[in-house]
Amino acid sequence: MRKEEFLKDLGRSLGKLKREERRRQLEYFDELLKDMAEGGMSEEEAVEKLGQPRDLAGSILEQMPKESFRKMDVRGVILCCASLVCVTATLIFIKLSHGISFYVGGGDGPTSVFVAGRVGRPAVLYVVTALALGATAVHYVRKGKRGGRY
Amino acid sequence: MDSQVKKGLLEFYILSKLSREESYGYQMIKDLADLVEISESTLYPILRRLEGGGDVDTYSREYNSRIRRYYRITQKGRERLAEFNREQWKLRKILRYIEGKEEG
Repeated sequence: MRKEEFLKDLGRSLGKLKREERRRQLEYFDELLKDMAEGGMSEEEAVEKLGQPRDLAGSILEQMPKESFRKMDVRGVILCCASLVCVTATLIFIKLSHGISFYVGGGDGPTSVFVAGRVGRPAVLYVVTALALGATAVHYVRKGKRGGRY
Repeated sequence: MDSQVKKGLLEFYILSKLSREESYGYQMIKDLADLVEISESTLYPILRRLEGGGDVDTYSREYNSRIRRYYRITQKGRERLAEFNREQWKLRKILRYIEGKEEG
């Protein structure tokens, strides 16, 4: 197996770790393989000596401290759900206020009910939607920065 | 040697080694090989744990037009090592007991 392939497989097997933790680890094994190669081994031999990426990752994961693992991003999940609900509600209101008719099944055929005039401009809903989207965006931008900086 | 015992001792082996000179991943594995069998997957978590606990810090230096990460012991690490050595008699006592040569 080639080194690049080995490191790619290893990275994939370390998915449970935090991004920075995984980067550090791949860097470490990249350095190790280079050092082994300089010590006189061929790249294939060096990779061979480390074993299967999945086994290597398995025994490393067993020994890594708890803090190295990803935590579930509860806040992100809540924000995403809130955004989704708000956007859906907004879209429904926009459609309704543009005059969509819907049908109520009745005895002598469909009765068309025009609701355009009845739905006002839900300004509050728009503001809430914008806030939810904004908060979600800020959350992920900050999370991205944290991951990069560590 | 029992892997749990080995793991515990390896931390102090590495601290002791780094208290003499700073080192890098492959060098440590090679040096360790003379004393105790260690696989590449064992060393990394130990180094990371030592670093996380502030016993060891790292820096990158260019070597052969690539980056190599070096590890060195911190003051905190030196204190931890000294404490371990001060209390070695306790460990020896336990070993003697396990061996059956000392009463508990």
